[in-house]
Amino acid sequence: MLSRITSRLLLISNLILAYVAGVVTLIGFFTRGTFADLGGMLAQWAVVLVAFALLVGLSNLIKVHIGRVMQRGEGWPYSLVLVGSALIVLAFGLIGGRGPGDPYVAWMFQWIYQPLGAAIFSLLAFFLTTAFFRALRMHSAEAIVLLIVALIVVIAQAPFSAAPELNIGVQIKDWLMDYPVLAGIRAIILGVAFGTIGISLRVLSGFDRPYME
Amino acid sequence: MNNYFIIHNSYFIISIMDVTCLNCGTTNRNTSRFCAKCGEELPRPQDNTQQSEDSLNLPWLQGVHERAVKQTGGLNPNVLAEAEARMAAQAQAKKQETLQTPQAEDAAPETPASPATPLQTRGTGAPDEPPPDWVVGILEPGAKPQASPEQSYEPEELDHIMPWLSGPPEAGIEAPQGAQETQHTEDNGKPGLPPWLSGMTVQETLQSSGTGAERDVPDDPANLGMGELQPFVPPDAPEQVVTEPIDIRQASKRKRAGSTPETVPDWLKPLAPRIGKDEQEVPPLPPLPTEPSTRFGLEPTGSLLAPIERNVPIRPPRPGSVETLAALLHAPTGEVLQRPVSALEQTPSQGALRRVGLRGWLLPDGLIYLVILALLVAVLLIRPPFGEQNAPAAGDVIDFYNVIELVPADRPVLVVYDWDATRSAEMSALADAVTRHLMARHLHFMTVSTVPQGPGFAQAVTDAAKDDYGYQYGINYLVLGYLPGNEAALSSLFNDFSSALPLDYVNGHRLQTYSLVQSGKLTSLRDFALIITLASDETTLRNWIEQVSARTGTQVIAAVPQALEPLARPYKNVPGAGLKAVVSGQAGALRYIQQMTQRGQDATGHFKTSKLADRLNAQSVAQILVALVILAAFVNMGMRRILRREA
Repeated sequence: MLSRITSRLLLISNLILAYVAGVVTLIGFFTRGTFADLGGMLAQWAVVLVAFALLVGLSNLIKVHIGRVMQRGEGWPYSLVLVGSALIVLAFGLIGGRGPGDPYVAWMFQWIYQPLGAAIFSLLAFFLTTAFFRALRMHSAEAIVLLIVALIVVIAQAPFSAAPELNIGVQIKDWLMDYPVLAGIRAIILGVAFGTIGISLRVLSGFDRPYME
Repeated sequence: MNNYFIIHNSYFIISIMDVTCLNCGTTNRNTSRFCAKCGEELPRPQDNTQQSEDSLNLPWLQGVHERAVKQTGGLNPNVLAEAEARMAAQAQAKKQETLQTPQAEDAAPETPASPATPLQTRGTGAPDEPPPDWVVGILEPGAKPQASPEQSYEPEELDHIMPWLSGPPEAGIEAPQGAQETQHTEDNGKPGLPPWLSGMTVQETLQSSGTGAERDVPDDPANLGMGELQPFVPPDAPEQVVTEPIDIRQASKRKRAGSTPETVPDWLKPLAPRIGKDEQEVPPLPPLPTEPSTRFGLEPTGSLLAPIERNVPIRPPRPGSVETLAALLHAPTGEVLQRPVSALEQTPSQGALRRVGLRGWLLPDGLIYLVILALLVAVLLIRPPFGEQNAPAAGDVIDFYNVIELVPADRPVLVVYDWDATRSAEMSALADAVTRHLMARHLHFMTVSTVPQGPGFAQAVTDAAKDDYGYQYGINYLVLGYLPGNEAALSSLFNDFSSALPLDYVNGHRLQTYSLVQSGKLTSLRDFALIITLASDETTLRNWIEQVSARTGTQVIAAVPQALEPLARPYKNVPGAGLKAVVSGQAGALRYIQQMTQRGQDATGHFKTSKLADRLNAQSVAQILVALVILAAFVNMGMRRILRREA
């Protein structure tokens, strides 16, 4: 009996907290003064929580991979590289006293991390090209339309298409981007916005309680 | 449930004969393969069922066994087949046997049999041998069993060993035989019966092999109560794990040899001759992988493979299933499976597979990869003039340029670095151009990021450009760092960003120590004249437009990758504050630099477009290549259609 009352009170207090926080943030979005300040304070609390969550995630990541290295689990050399690189960057940031802006950290970021990230993304060109070739194997009308439009846009967006001889291609591309593509994207954005409003109202009214899960 | 008890217990009686270990002399159960004490391999007995039947050729025991088999629909195919074959021949003998039962009871003392020495009955049981005394005691509780020379137990010891023999004395003792037959269906706790034999009597068992047996067989073959069967563990029987291979085909053969003719569905009749023919040609399957199975005297595999006739509606086969089954039956699985296959034999056509793999890699993916690689390397070496653009700047670039030009000189600008390393090829060019434009106009600016990698890029870009324009960190610009939390982070910046980001990114000092903030002109997002978003993700761009620009009324312009431009367009040219201009890609960066050069912003001569032109060369060639691949795909599709029509 006591546990039921306690759980009931917990539920009611959670609902009240969520409702008050949501309403204050919503009113603060459209006004200035008290509600705006309260909304900003709640947002700062959320930022602090997210920052702690990042720390917890980092510690958990290191713990998991250290455990894998100690147990010689599958792929443990990769875990060793991960833990080693994380600790090295952390050590440089802490020893230098300048945090992430330390020159050594900046050097590693600029000459190690950035080229690796760009190299991985550059593989997309290979995959995309072969995907174009394979798309027509489906023999569907959608694939044919997709490839025709892609052909026009790819040619018209190339730097050499700025030449006056290729102006017709650029005009076709602009028409495609300004009308069909823009209309489709706006429809998607409006649909997402209406869906978000609906979900927000359900959360505020207590029908959905994602914070209780 | 009752049937299952009977099966297990009858079989338990059959299989309790022991096997003596040759090494240590320990007595083990005959189902054991290894000695329970020393682990030595025990002498292999013959087939358990056959041995049991040969050694215990007792009519009363066979009756128990057969009755159990009958009631379960033939769970043991061998016994069932033999029982049905003997059924007709023993019909007359059973009648005589029933009449001679009192005489056999009289002769019992002359052929003593004790349950404590079951091996003594092995092979000595004659068809007309009477049941042992303890069975007679069960059979007729009122009769006094005659003591045998080996039976030296006191009544108390006997009660302790077999407590069921001394049940309630008043129950059933005085009941006549006919009453017992009617009572046994109702009284499961009958005195004199062990709990695992409750529910049947020996008289009933003796009659079960005769004409009276059919009376107990359920009329409906499907109504066997199999769904209620539960695994039964005899109370005193130790669990034995037998690691014998389960030969499904042998069990299936035994089933077919001993079972009644089966009803073949119509859709399987065309295959029936083939099955019989192939069965002789196909060698037996090799022993399946050893799988431990728990047995308690009953052979589970035989039980599972024995026919269980139910009234299951037979559906017509799916299209092609009969042909598939026929192909599988004709497949030479036996010989291949019998001999061990080495690793090399598993891939006999390794060379062919390698050729197929190489061809499969080359067509079309590998070939496309190689062509792209060769072209990009060639472009870097040859440097064709594709990257040079002499066309006038587009409207977006001019709008972008004009918005920055219109910023008041005394108001700072917020530059958002929300891009990661994957887009650095495009975004670094755009960020460099924007930063140089701001520095060329001597505008103060601050950078902030909602992406973890953003501050690193901000530091790198500003450090590379600051010396060309005489900019000093903390006086002319600041790098604030990373703020987690997406929408919440932007809301926290809205009123007082110094509380959300109290330290700068480069030095880790408090913001109030820098002269750019000390002036008191910068406290919230409303104090910025312009927000320039360098975003590589649609979400971050949308957040800045919806959460910040809509609330503060501050203008936003965006520099994004070329792939993100269609997603940024819906926010452009919306009435009120919002996205005012978008520049995208390396081509946009080059045109933006050309625009600044034309307007005289390149007074210092630091706008270098040669590197950007090289990148655009490679991008142009790649785009031509993608277009050619698309055309090749269309040609390929057309050729296939033409060839298909001709074929």
